[in-house]
Formats: sequence, C-alpha cells, structure tokens
Amino acid sequence: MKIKLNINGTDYESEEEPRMLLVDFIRDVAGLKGTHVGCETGSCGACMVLLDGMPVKSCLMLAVQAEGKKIITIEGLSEKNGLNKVQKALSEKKALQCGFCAAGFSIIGTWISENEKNIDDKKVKEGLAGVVCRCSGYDTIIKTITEVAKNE
Amino acid sequence: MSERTEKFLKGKGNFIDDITFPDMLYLEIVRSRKAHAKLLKVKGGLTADNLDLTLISTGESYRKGKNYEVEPVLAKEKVLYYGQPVSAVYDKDRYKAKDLAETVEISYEELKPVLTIEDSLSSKPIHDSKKDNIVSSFEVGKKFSLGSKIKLSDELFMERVLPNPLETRGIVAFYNSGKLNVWISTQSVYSIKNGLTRILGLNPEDINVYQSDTGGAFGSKSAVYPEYVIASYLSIKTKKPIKWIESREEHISSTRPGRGAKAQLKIYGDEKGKIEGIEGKILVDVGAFADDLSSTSPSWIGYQITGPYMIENVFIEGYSVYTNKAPLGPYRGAGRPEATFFIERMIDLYADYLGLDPVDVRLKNLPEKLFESPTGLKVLPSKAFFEEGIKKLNYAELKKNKAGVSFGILIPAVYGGESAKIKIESGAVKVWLGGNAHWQRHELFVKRIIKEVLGIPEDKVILMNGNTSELEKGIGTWGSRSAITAGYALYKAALALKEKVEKMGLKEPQQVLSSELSSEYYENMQLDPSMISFLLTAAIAEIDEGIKPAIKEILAYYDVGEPLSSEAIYGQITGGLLMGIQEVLTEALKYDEKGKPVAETLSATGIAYSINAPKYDVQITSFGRSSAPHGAKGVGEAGTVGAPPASARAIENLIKKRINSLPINLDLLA
Amino acid sequence: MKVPPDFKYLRTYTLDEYYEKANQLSLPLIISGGTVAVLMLKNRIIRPEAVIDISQIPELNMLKIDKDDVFIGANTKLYKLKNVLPNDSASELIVKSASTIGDIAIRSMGSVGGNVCLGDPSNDLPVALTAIDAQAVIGKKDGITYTPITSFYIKPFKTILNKGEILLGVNYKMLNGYRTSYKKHFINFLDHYVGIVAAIAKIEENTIKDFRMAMAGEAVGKPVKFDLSEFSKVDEIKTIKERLFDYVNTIHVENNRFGTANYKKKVLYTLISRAIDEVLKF
Ligand SMILES: Cc1cc2nc3c(=O)[nH]c(=O)nc-3n(C[C@H](O)[C@H](O)[C@H](O)COP(=O)(O)OP(=O)(O)OC[C@H]3O[C@@H](n4cnc5c(N)ncnc54)[C@H](O)[C@@H]3O)c2cc1C
Ligand code: FES
Ligand code: FES
Repeated sequence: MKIKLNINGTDYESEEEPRMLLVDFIRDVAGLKGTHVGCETGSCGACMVLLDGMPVKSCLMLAVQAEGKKIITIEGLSEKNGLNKVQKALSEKKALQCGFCAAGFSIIGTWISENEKNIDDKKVKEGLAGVVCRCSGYDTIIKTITEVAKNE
Repeated sequence: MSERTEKFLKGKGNFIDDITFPDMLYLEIVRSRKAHAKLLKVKGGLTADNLDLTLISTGESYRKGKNYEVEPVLAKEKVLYYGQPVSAVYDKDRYKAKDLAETVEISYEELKPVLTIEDSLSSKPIHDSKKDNIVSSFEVGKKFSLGSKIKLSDELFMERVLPNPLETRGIVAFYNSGKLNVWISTQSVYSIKNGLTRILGLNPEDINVYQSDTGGAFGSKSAVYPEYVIASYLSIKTKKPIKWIESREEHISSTRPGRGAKAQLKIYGDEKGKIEGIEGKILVDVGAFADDLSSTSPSWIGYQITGPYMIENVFIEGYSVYTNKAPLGPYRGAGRPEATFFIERMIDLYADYLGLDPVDVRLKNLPEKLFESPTGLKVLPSKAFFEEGIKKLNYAELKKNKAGVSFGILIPAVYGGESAKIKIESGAVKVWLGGNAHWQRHELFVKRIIKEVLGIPEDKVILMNGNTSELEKGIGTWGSRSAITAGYALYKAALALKEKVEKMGLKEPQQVLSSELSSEYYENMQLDPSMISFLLTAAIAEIDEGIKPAIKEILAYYDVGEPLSSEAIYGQITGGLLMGIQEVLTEALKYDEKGKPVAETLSATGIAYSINAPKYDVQITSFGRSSAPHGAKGVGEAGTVGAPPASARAIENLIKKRINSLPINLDLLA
Repeated sequence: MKVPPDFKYLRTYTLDEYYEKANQLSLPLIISGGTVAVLMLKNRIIRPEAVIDISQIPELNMLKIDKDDVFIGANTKLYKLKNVLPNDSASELIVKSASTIGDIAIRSMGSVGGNVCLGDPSNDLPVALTAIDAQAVIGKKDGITYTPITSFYIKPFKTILNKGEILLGVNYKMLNGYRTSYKKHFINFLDHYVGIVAAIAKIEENTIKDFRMAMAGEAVGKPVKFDLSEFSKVDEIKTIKERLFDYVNTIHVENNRFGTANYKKKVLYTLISRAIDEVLKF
C-alpha cells in the first residue's frame, strides 16, 4: 500500500507493505539513520520520535498509524544541521559515551524541557525513565537536562 | 567539545545498521529452540551440511591437552544451547528474510539439559567425545596448613550477566574484486580479522576489517561469532554485500554473557583481625563451548584473589565446566569483579564473626610495602591510599548510614601492548588505534597526546575508527587497557613523528599540518604494579517499603593515575558503578528448567534505568602515575569491580541477613 | 529482527464500517495505539488475516460527562486522562493509575481501550476501574451493552468480548469526598507488576461510609474486588488487613522470575497494608 508520512516537515511517500514499522520507514525509506533500534520491544527508547509533539517509541508502531501526523526525529529537532539546546548541552557536558542513545535523550530531553513545569532532578529522573543509556550511569544526562529545562 | 558526540547528537553516526550498499542481502539466523537435543532433521537454509566449520580460539597453546571444545559455526548432529545457530537464510528484503527463517524445519530429540555447576560436575559429559564436563583445572598459590584460631567458610556466587550494549552486534560483509571487506561493530578489528582469516582459510592480504561506530560493547564485541563467519562466507559465495543485525532476543540467547562464577572459600585468621590465609575452589560455568578466555577464567580470578591485601597463604583450585547454556565471554571487568566480590565478602564475614568494624579489619591487612602474593600478583603498598580514602569519604558519616565499604584493585589488561598510527592528511592529523574506540575517552586522550607532543591544536586531530588496512597490527579495547596501551603507542608514534618534523625543520603547527608525514608504532607491554589502580567504594542502601532494595548513594574514591579528562572518566565510573549496583539488585541472565533464557525483553534482563541511578559521589584521585609515559591507569571497569561488594554489604547491613549470591535472593526480604 | 507477519490493513472511520469488516473477516485484530498489538505481531504470537485500525472512529474518541456519569471513549490516550477527567475522587483514582503506566512514550501511544481489553493481570486501569465499579461499554452490530468490569474478565488474557464486538469505552459514576490510594510493585521497570492495589474510601467522623478495593498483578491474576461492606469503623484497620491477608493466603502464587511465592505474598501484604493506611488513617 501507499504510505505517506510527514517527517521533519518533509513528505515521504512510498509503496510499502502495511506491516512496515514506523522506525523502519524513518530509517530505510526516509533515510534518517539517527533514530536507532535498541530493543524492539519498547524497553529502551533508542527509537524515540515526537508524534504530533508527544514522545513515542517508533518500534511499537506501524508506519501507517502515523499517517496524517507530524513526526520529528533527532535530525529535525533544530534548524538545518544544528543542535538544539538539549543536544548542545549533552554534547558540551560529555554526557554520552558510545552515543547510541543520543536520539532517545535528545527527544525526551527536549520534550521535558518544553513541557514539564517546576523542574527538578527528581522529575527529570522520572521523566527519562523509559530511555536507556547503558554506558553513562545517567548522572550527567540527568543533571544536564535538568539544567536546560530549568532555564527554559 | 567532542566531534564524535556532536555527530551522534545530530543523528549522523555511522553505526553498523546505518551502513548500506545497493543490492544488499539480509541474513537471518535460525536458532535452536532447545538447550540440549539431538538434531533429527534440519531442512532449509544454509546448514552444517554446507558450511562445516568451527570457530578458532586465539592462543592455540592453551588448547593443547585440554578438555576443550570450540563452537561450530552451525550446529551439527546436536544442539548444546538454546539459541545456537542451526541454519541461515537471506533475502534482499529484510522482512522477507524473517519470513524465510520461519520456513526452516528443525526437529529435535530432547536431552536433559545440564544447567548448573553442580549439575555439570555430576552429569554425563554434554560433549560425547569428552570424559566429563570439566574443561580445565588450575592450581593457584601454594598448599598450606595453618593452625589458625579462626577458620570460616562460605560459598559465593555471581550469576550470569548479559553485556547488553544498547547497540546489539552486527556486521556487513562485502566480497568485492577478490577481497573480503568487513564492517563491524567491534572492540577489535584485529581479532575479527585474525579469526575470519583463519576460520575461512583466507589470505590476510585479502581481508580488510573496518570498525563502524560502536554503540557500546562491554566485552561482547571482541570475539568472532558464528554469524560473522556465515555472513562472510555467504558474501564470498554470492559476491553481494550481506548484512546481519542481531535482535535483542538473539543477544539474550546467543551473545556471550559474563560472570557465572562460584567460589567455595575458607578464610583463616587470628582473633584480632589478621588474615592468615585463603583457600578454596573457584568454579566457572563456561556454557556449552569454551575458548581460552573463558576456560582460563578461574585461574585469572584466583590470581587476583588477594586484591590489595597482604595475605601470605593462598591456595585456590580452579575449574571451568560445561553446561547447556550459551558460551561464556567477558563482561565488563571480566574476572576482576568476581575476585573482588569473593574476597571482600569473605573479609566482611570474618569481621562480623569477630565483631570488628570491617574497615578496621581491612586496615589491618593492607601492605605498607610492595607485596607479592603467593599467586604471583604484585601490589604497591595500599594502606596509605585506603586510610586517605576513608577519611575523604567521611567514614564516621558512612557508618551512621550503615554503608557497605569495599576495597579492590583494577588490573589493566596491558598484555599484548598496542599499536597506533598517525597520518597527516589534508591539513588534519588522523589517528588510528589498535584498540578501537567506543568511548569518548579515546578521542580525548588522543587529542591531548598529539597536542602535548606535536603542539597541534585539538580541533585538528581526528580519531578514526578501527581499520585493518590503515593499521595492520593491533590488539583491542577491553580490560581497562586503552589509556595505558593505546596511549603509550600513540605517544611513541607521536615522538617518532616529532623527530621527522624536526629533521625537516618544520616549526609551526601550520607547517606540520601541511606536510604528508606519518608514523606508526607498536610495542608489547608488561604489567607492572604501578599500573594497577586502587578502588575504594562505599554504598548506602534503602529497602523501599520493606520489599524493594535499592542503592541510594554510592561513593567512590578511585585512583586513575594521571587523569586525561575528568569529565569523560566521571561518566565511565558512574556507568560502571550503576552496572555493578544493578548486578546486585536485579540484573542477571537466568534460565528456566529447560535451559531457555527467562527474559524475553531488555527490561526483563534487569538493566538499570534512570530511576535506578543513585546519588553519586565520585572522587577521582591519583595515587601516583603509572609507568606509562603519560601516567594513566585503567578506569573502564572500575565501577563494576567496586560497586557489587559495597552494595551487597549495604543491603546486608539493613536486612541483617548474609548476602553471598548475586543478584540478591528476594526471598531474604520475605 | 522482530517484524510482523504479513497482513491486510484496514482503517475504519465509522462503527458500522468496523462491524461490517470485523464480521466478514475470520481473524481480525483491533489496533488502537498499537503498543501491545504491534508487539504481539512482532513476536508472531498472533497472525491475523487483517489488522483493523479503530483510531479514527469518532465514538471511540469521545469523553462524555453527564451529571455524575462519565464515559471515556476507548481510544482516549492514557496521557490525556489527567487533563480531561473531572475532579471527583473516582476520576482521581483513574488518573493516579494511568499516570503510572509504562513511561511517557507508552502513555502517549497507549489507549484506555487497549489497556482494558488486553486482559493482562499487569494492566493498571482494570484495577482502578474495578475498585470504582465501572462498566465496560460494549458495542456490537445490534446495539450497546453495559457490563460491570468485574465480569468483563474471564481469566488472564481473556475477556468476554466476542468476534465482531468492540469496547466503546468505560463508564463510571463520579464519587465525591473520597480518599484514594494506588499502589503497585515491579522488579524491573517496564516489565510486569507483581501486584497492583487500588483503594477508595469515604469516611465521616471515624465511620466508614463506603470502602472499595481491588487487586491484580502477576501474582494475583485477573482483577479481584474485595467485599468490605461489613466494616464500618476506621479503627478496624487491623481486622480489615487481616481479612485481606487471609485472602492473599488463599491464592495460588507461583515461584517464578518475579520472585518466590513467599516474597510475592509479602509484596501483596505490603501493598494492601499501605493502601489501607492511606485511605483509612488520618
Ligand atoms: C514497554 C511497555 C510498557 C508497558 N507498561 C504498562 C504498564 O505499566 N501498565 C499497563 O497497564 N500496561 C502497560 N503496557 C501495556 C500497554 O501499552 C497499555 O496497556 C496500553 O494502554 C495499550 O493500549 P494500546 O492502544 O496501545 O493498545 P493496542 O496495542 O492497540 O491494543 C491492545 C489489545 O487490546 C485490543 N483492543 C484495543 N482497543 C480495543 C477496543 N476498543 N475494543 C476491543 N479491543 C481492543 C487489541 O486488539 C489488542 O489485543 C506496556 C507496554 C509496553 C510495550
Ligand atoms: S527500539 Fe524501540 S524502545 Fe527500544
Ligand atoms: S552513551 Fe552508550 S548507551 Fe548511552
């Protein structure tokens, strides 16, 4: 069937099987490789994207389910090829190591900083639950996102 | 700022699944759904009938005379663990490859699986050609007999744990114009190249291995696995690029996990807290097939059993044994956390028996001059470090909070040395290391060393991914070795380049950058005691509502030698600490009574989420430089060594029941 | 790699269209948010002939408040409940329950209907809904039926829904001036729950006017509702607890990856005890 998705403001249309997962459409049809697959079962958030402004795990959705919605991936969080505040801060604070979790924390971090009120460490820690970083022990990630969100 | 991280945060990494070629074929592995069975029929796909090879372990010498069985690439006649590769299929469509995998028919005659160390010792051999299930046995130290006043015994166990890097394993193999090109997510392009060359009988000149960006490894991306051989073989056969990406489910069933070690120990001492000896057995469950690393694991654990302590009498017997589980591999720390957990738990047992403060007992047994353990391990005097650390961590306060304290050593795996290459090209300095990066820290020390030796600004230095055609010889990244070994090789390569620069009369960095110089260096290294770091860890626990144990706060006072970048080191330490804590609480690879892994998802393997992160108090300190030219010591595995015994003790202090097995048995709370 | 088997995909825009398609097909699978449906497909534990997407059916996306009667359409996303439900105590219990589901991503994808219809003992909303005596509103070709949630579940993963039927939503009466408590316990985050307990009580001058409790979770099975009508005094807390502990002792709890039976029973005692304290103690 024809699947038409809007990702980072661009329309992508392609003839695909209905069983195609959203994450595969993003990676293989749209060619946006920044969204990763870590667990395939909703356990890790490596595949996280924004769908009409809400964070979702794109490994748990069919591509067709996202028709008519606005999808934002890690590549689309900022203006052309840049980094938004959260991404910049994560980079500056050396919050990541292997970098495979970058999409998850960029997406969820951005969402938290734009949507949660009365931010503190504890709220951020709870808000980030659902995105796995296997390398860092989370500490610098939590502190960095808290700081950005507080200044939002 | 790190360019690598910035690239990742833009979503522009080049991880293994990001690498694609036109006409690519996708490989799916069909795996055994039984832990122990005869294969009655395998119909469909590539099977052992077409591809009858076994993996080769490095270090051939170790294999002689050992009861040693190496894994076949595809199972033949019998399957010996759940998840063992039986057949392989491929298609140009990823989804269709999966459909195809379902059409392969396998029928089994089930056999009783051997699943524990005890079972293994008392059961018929799982390998028909062997006489029993013992892979190898060792003696470490010297037999002794002591008339000590106090002798205490306990059995300690650390369950299997999965490496679970966030990026699973994966490979792209492309045989093209007579050469096999391999892209892979790895800790060492060299072990992959050596392995594939030997297993497939290729000429070393005909294979190049390139490292993709590597999304974590923790030990799981060093060895050659069956899937790599299959992908390479199929690419040679089809002349097409072949990609295989591991699913998380496959990671759980088939990637080599670590730990699975048991110790039956007896500690000897006097009534005042002076330890007189340690003896006993160390048993390691290596799974269905062995390699050098797994089969020598008991002796490696035994070697470091005295840790930072002065214990004059040591005798350890080590055994590695077969079970019907996935073959064992290294997991972050590989032997170091085991040794530390075992000795630290025994010292706590001894202190409790005497009613003494465990910290005082430790102090009584720390050397004030270089100590050579009967196992051959040499450690620098550790007492002063411990005394200082205990002060810095404010022990009085810790005691109030019923903290657990552990003291350990981190022995870097420097053996084999390392290589490095520097090449100046189009205005930038490109660096290749034999130990392949998947941490920022590599990039940071590379930039630092080049700047120090050659005066070239850090933003002109690029750390390249591992590549066997640029740098032919190398070892790999594991065992907290990189900063020492790769750092050393790079330092030497930089000095050699500096010499060339001076000969040519180039003065300004700008002039150097417009040259086309290059240099390469390799040197083997030997461990010396100055490279071993000391790790003092304390943990404070809480038991939420009496049913949920957690670590609230973890404190570390770690010796890192000359720190290269404290921010990058900090992240590595906190990462290791959280893994270590989680190994105490929930993280484990458990099997059901049929030998199938119990967990089906990443979360069910018990890994840590942000909500599990404790408050960290990490103090990075230097207890002298190491003998490596830039003074660095290992750090990568520090947290996984220090956290488990401290965390177990902290929980023990609250529940007042002895913890000798990880992850903790929740029944202790019932 | 986990990928779904091949299937036909049908997006339905009206209930009639749904009934027509669902009745024509031999093996259809409803998909709303898809968090569980897609996972089941990926695990290939179901191989439906067709997947029927119900997310665009207007009746399922409604919220209706009529005096003290609340209807939540099945497609309502879990994260939205906090913002759309009224302020009464029954709604408060639902919101408490919903806000503990998975992580924010699961709550922004997952729907009320998906949570209620799966029948997994670890699902949250059924416990809260059982405690407040909500009803399942079931649609079928020839009309609508209202069934108490307590009789909606036959056993784990089995509800009374038949082929061609659909959950339109859930319906409950607002409760005012109650205290609520929602407690649950997991070993691993984003994994199943050992136990879930919901409690709601109205107390006036040390007299219990109304007190309802429900429990589910991996150790328990499908949601159970406790009959607490005989208790009228707040100072009977100890007796109430003992009664419920006795109940726990009658259920068959298995040793498995979530712990030993002993441990799991301790978990249930603890959750019950905490929930009772929260609603009855002042
Ligand atoms: C990582 C992870 C964590 C989770 N954590 C929790 C948790 O903490 N608590 C919890 O309760 N759940 C949890 N879940 C389960 C699930 O996400 C939620 O139950 C969610 O509400 C399901 O809604 P959905 O719209 O995604 O359902 P879908 O996947 O669309 O559907 C689920 C099932 O319900 C059926 N169905 C859906 N709507 C209807 C309808 N209107 N009528 C009839 N049948 C219908 C479908 O056919 C399917 O069988 C978790 C899931 C994942 C993957
Ligand atoms: S890959 Fe989607 S949550 Fe892990
Ligand atoms: S940096 Fe490796 S998973 Fe987060």
